[in-house]
Parts: sequence; structure tokens; C-alpha cells
Amino acid sequence: MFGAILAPIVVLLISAVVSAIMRIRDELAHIPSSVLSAVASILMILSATYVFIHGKQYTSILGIKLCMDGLSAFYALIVGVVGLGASVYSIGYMKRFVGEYSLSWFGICYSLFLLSMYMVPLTTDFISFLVFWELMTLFSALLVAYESRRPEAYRAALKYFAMMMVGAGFIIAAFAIIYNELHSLEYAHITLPPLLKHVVFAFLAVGFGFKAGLAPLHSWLPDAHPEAPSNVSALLSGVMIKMAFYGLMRFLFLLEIDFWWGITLTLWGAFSAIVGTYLSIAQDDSKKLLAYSSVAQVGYIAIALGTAIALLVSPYSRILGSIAFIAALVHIFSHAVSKGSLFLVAGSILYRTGTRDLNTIGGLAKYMPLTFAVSLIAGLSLSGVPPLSGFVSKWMIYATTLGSRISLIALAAALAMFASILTAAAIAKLITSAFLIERSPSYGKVSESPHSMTLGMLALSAMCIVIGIYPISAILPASLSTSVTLAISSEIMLESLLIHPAVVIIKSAGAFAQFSSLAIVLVVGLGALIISMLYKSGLRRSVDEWLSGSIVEPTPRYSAVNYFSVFKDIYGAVYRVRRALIKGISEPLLVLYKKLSTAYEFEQRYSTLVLTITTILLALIIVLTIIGVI
Amino acid sequence: MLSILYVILTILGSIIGFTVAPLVDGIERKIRAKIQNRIGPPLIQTWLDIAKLLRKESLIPRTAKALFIIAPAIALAMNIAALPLLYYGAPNVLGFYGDIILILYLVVGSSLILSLGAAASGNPYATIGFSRKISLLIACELVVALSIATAILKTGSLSLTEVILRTGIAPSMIIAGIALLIVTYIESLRLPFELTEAKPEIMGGIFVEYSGRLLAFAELSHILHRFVMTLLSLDILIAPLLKLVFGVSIMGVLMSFIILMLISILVLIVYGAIESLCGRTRIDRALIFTARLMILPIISLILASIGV
Repeated sequence: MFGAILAPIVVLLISAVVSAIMRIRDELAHIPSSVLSAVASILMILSATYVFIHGKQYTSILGIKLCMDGLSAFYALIVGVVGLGASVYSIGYMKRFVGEYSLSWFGICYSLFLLSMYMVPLTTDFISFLVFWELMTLFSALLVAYESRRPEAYRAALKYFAMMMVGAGFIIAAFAIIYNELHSLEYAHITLPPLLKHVVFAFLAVGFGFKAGLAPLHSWLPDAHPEAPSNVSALLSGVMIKMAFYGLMRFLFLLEIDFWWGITLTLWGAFSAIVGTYLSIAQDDSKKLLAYSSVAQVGYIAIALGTAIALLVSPYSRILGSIAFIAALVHIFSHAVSKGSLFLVAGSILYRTGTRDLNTIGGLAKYMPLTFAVSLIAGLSLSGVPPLSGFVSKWMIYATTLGSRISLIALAAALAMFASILTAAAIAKLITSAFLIERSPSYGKVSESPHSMTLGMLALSAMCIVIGIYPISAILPASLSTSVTLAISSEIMLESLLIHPAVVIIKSAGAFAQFSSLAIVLVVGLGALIISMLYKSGLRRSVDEWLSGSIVEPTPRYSAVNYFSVFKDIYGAVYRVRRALIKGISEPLLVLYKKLSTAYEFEQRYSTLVLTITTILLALIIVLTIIGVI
Repeated sequence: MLSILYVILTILGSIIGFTVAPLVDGIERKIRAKIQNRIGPPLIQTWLDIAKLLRKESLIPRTAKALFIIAPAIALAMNIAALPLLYYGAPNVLGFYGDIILILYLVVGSSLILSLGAAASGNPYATIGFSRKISLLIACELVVALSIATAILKTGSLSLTEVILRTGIAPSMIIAGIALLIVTYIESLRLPFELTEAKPEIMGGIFVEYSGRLLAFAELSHILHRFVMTLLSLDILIAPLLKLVFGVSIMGVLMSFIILMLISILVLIVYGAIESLCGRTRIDRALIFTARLMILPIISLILASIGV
């Protein structure tokens, strides 16, 4: 039934057209596009479900062959879930821009951005993949530059676009090599000579690494994500950067995977996790903090994917490897919903207080209780606290990485655990400074965010709870798509897992094993309930806080800047190395470019850089093509 | 027959852990008093304190958010839930593949939620305590994660019981155990690392606004946390040796159980004695110390990866 796949495409195209027509009533233009995008998102979820039940579906549009298999369906599901939350949220949020920027323009870009993200996984040949990949980059860059009169947004979009072009260069180079051997543009398994195989891996990893924002290729991410409107940030961080992993999952497994690819990806992921979380706790801008945390979370996905590759090479650890693959997918899902909700929360704070600076806001919990609840659920989920979705995915990652018995992967896992507590610290900084700590507000009393925004946030954060309590809701689709990619029956994988609320266990002998994890969740839940009841039955009195007798006034008390300051000094090797690198490499480069083009503006310097690199890459492609021919 | 004994010992161990941990706190107070030439409170003073606090009214600051109230309850429940997952000299039948990670999550999670609750009180002293606590927690967690990774890499299992049963005498495990034992001291916030409370400086820090029943929960949670962390490090450090000496027969298991409990109580008492001889340090000194401690688990991880 090809209608299932085509329906969202049609709806999103209609949405773009309607938005264009709505230019005549620009102040209402966001409503049809948001509603239609939400409808399209629901249709995406439905078509993904259809594919999960009935298997692979083929169709074609304008001569482009499309196919939705398990892996594409999983991505369609994520685009649908986050897209639904963000689109509903847009109805309220975009009122912020009425009269300032064109809402009709937003509607066009937003619908087409969603459409391109939906199309990327559906393609079946390299050329249409690249076309939709570039369209995705284009529309997201346009959305980043949406507030075009602000120079920061404009600059961030240009930087993003420039870096994506470089990344695309690497991807094209890899495709060129594959095409040279395959002589066909459709995806197919291929055996390459060893050296060439490693070159393709390196190109794909770097090319997609740019999009994923894996450190040190991340520098576009903390600029672009905060500058975009918050509903778009949710989609950028929640879905788009994970498209890079779609690329890796799809194309790496076309080749014959190599053990050292897995190790490389795992260590790279651990590096990214550490750098991302370190930079995240140092941010005072709510959206920058979340953006750096995304750099860390894609690191986790890379760890899981790398472990999967390293384990799948050996026939003895194929099952554990496939579980690591599932873990990567589940983490993609879980991070999509939790980071999506957190960006929406940051958007709500911005909507009501007009600032992203964590130093100037505070005590919002009593004004915005629902937003606070969402931030707490999504934040705890991101830090991996049971029984929320982040715990399920991180648990699976730890269980597979630590269980792999490969020392480099175990090291990566230990670093990931450390990064996990740093993530918790970053989230604690965000939540406490925005919602809990009292501060004299510069914005007076605020109220809860508008209903549509609250609804969007609540829907996404509810998914954190759903996946946490019914992990099978994420694991079943993930295992179905894994079975397609790795050609291992999903029954075998599911049989080797015991899935309980919040806890997924890789099967092992032990009579009580099946109950104990469940028991722990119950003990914590019930225990907390009983203890709270005990409190409720006791005496209570409301008093002023104890300040050793000084006068109570909500003065500026503990600014976000001061958080973990001592820690940042002593464990600050990451910051120092980064500073040294910027001083040693970036600044001399910039000086060099300044000398080369003194009359150029900042942005133009970037374009020079891009031009140089693209030229080098093109030369490289030509050389490699020739080598391939010989 | 043997497995029934295992179950009984695990349950017994958890119950003893729950009841004895506050008593050990009483012993510590007694020793501190002796060192400071005081008579000191009776041994059951900590239980008496908790019983009294449970009867007192809780004062809730007007600036406090709901999290302030539920945090101690969640923290206490998490620590109680961690108790039956530990190894008490007998193979833990509740154990499963991955229980080490769960224990870590519960232990770290309880600290985290307690400090978040403190920050939710709206009191600036509590906020300072919160920030210090998180900094210290991060620093300690790096050591803990590396040590646990060593144990898992050495044995290839994520089940605490299997880790213990599979290890003989391995230098890497011993170094990891020592690192864990030292970091337990820091993480349980004893002097000189008692920076998050620091009564003369920041008025009790994270506990400043807690009173009545809420304080009772928070205190009990804190004391249980100390016990859980201590027993976990001893499980890595000593339990493999005990298993090697006594085996898993009925008598052997009983002996291991008794010795393990005695040693953990002894360690807590020694820690209490060390504490009474120390003054408070500064947060930066504490972090530098923890950073230097990292050398131990790194060595152990390298040893484990070459199979020693």
C-alpha cells in the first residue's frame, strides 16, 4: 500500500503551498502550516507502524524509487514523534515573531524541512540520498537564519552551511569510490579492496560526523541550535543530527565491516561525550547548554554503534552486537524525545521571559509548574534516571559496552559513565538556576506558557515516561529495524532480552533475575510513596527560610556563572586544551585568512575556507576515482 | 538447601545493614567523644534522633518547591533498594546481569536527588552546598566508574556476584577496591570532606532547611548511603578473597557473611575515628585530592586490560 508512505509527503507539500498563499494574512500563516505538519507527523507515525507490521514497502515518486524498510520506518517514527510535539508547539510559539519576521516563510521552510527529513531515509539510491540530504541542510540552515536581522543567527547559519558543505564533500567522495566499484547507484552490498574500504569508512565517518556534531567537528552545533527558533531547535537536536547515524548504519553495513572501525567510532564517541558534557556544564545560555549536551549524547550513540560494529565482526558475539545496535537506536529515540522536550522548555522560558541567560532567570517553578514538570521529566531522562527512557537506553549501552570484554570499549564505557554524571550536573544547573533558585526577576511575574506549547511539551515528555515504563515500545521497532540491517531475526534478539519496566536485561541464568529488576523499580516507587505518606501524616508548618537572621529579600544569590567553578578549575584539562587549540590553530588560521582577504567580512572568510576545502576535496575525489579505475 | 541459605543471608544482610548502619554511626560518635575527652551519647543515639525527628513537625520554607519535600523520600527509597543487591558473603540470588550498574545508579541517584531537593528549598546556603556536592560527586564518580569498569573488564560479567565468584586474587581488582574504599570516604562526606554541610561555614548546607520527618529521611538516607558504598567497595576488595578461603559451602558462606559484616562495621568505625582527627578542608583541595586519586583506577584498568 504505497499511500501509507506518500500521504505525509502530500500533506507537507500542501502545507508548504498553503503557507505560501497565507502570505496575504501573514500573522496567521503559522497556524495552517503547524496543523498540517502535525497531521503529517501523525501520518508518518502511522506509515511507520504499517511498515513494522507488514514489512518493507516500495513506491516511487517522480521517477525516484522510494522504499520504507525497518530502519527507515524507525526514522520516520522519530521524525513523526518529535515533529508532532514541535508542530503543536509552533502554534503558540510562533506568535513571538508576528510582525517581526514572515510567518509564511517559516511555514514553507518548516514543512519542507520536515519533508526532507522524512525523505532522506526513504531513498534507495545514492544520488537521491544526496539531493534530500542537501535539501535537509538547506532548509535547516534557512530556519537557523530565520531571525535574519540578528547578525548572530545569520552568522550561525552560514557557519553551519559551510561546515555541512565540507561534510557533504566527504560523503560524495565516499559515494564516488563506492560507485566506481559498484557501477550502480542503488544501495547494494559491495566488496572493496582493504585499503579502499578503510578510506570509504574514514570519509563516511568524517562526513557524517560533521552532521552528527561529534566533537571536534561540532563547532557549528552550539551556534546553530540556539539561534534557531526553539521548535526548530527541538527538531535539529532531536532528529536531524541523528540522520548522520542513519547514513552510517545504512552505508557502513553495505561494506564488509571491520573490527577497528568499531573501536574508532567507540573512542570517538567517548571523546565527544566527555568534551560535550564538559562544555555543557560551563554554559550560562540555556539553549547553548542543551546544544553542547547534544554533542555528548551523539557521542553515546557513536559508542553504541561502534560497539555493535566491533562485536558483529566476530560470529560469537553477533547477538550482543545486535543488542548494541538496538541500544544505539533506542538511545536515538530516547534522546530525541528528551532533548526535544528540553529545547521546547528553553523555548517556553524564552517566550515568557525573553532571555536565554540562566544568570538572570530564576524561581520559575511556581509560575510555570507544567513547564517545570516537563523539564524535570526530560532532564532526569536525559541524565539516565530510572524509570525514564534515558535509563533504558543508557543501561543497554553500558550492558553491551562493559559486557563486550574489549578493554578499549570498557574504557569508553567508564568515560561514558563519567560523562553521564556530568550530564546530570548540566541538567541540574539548568533546572535549578531556571526554576528553583530564587532571584530578583527582571521580568516581573510570568504565567504558564500558552496551551498549545504546553501540550506539545507534555506530549514529548510523556514519551520519556512511556519508553521508560514500556521499554518494548522503543525496543520492538528498534529490533525490527536492526533485523533488517543486520539480517538477524528479531525474534532471536528479543529472546535474548528480558524487558521489564525501566530495565532491560540481557538474559543470563538466575532464577530470581526476572523478578528482581522489576522488584527494584517497585521498591523505589512504592518506598518513596510510603515514605511520602509518612511525611503527609506528620506535622507541618510553613516558615520563612533560614538565613542566619539576615533580611529576607530575593537578591541575586547564586548565579549560573558560579556553578561548579572550582570543579571547572581543577578538572579543567578539557577547557585548557580547547583554549590552547583555539589559540594555537584557529586564531593563526583566522589571522592568515585576514591577511589573505583584509577587505573581507567575517562570513566571507568562511566562504573562502569552504572554497579551499571543497577544491581540495574535489581534487581528492578525482585522484581516488582514477586510482579506483586503475 | 544452599540456595535458601543464600536468600536468607541476603535478606538478613539487608536488614542488618538497615538497622546497624545508624548504630555504627552511634559507635563513631562515641569514639569521637572519647578522642575529644567527652562521655558522648549512647550507642543508639542516632536511632533515638531519628525517632525524635519523626515526631517533630517539619518546617517548610515559603520559597520551597515540591521537589524539596519528595526528594528525601526518593533518596531514602533508592538507598533501601540498593541494600538487597549487594553481596553479603553468599551468592546473591537477587543478582542479575547488570546489577552493578543499577547499584551505581541508585547510589549516585540518591545523592543527586537529595542535593536537587536541597536546591529546591530556595535557601542560598543550600545552593552553595548543592554546587559543592555536585562538584564532589562528579569527581568521585570518575574514580568509581573506572574502578567498576576494571572489575567488569577483569571478569567479563556485569553481575556483582559473578564478578566476585570469578575473581581470584587479582592485583587489578585489589587496586580498584582500594580506590573505591578511599573514594567512599570522600563521597560519604566525612571530615575533611564534609564540605556540603559545613555547619560553621554554610549552616548545614544541603540540610539547612530540612527539619522534622524530612530531616529524619535525609539523615537515614545519608547513613545508609555510607553503608552501601562501604560494603560495595569491600565486595570488590575482600569478598573474592573470602570466597577463595571459605568457598560456598554452608559453613563457608556463614563465615564469609560474618567476616564481611564485621569488616564493614570495622571500616566504618575506623573512618569515624579518622574523621574525628581531621578539620575541614576547602573544596578545591578536596577536588585536587580526588583528581590525584584517579591514578589508582587508571592503573587497575591498565592491569585488567592486560589480564592481571
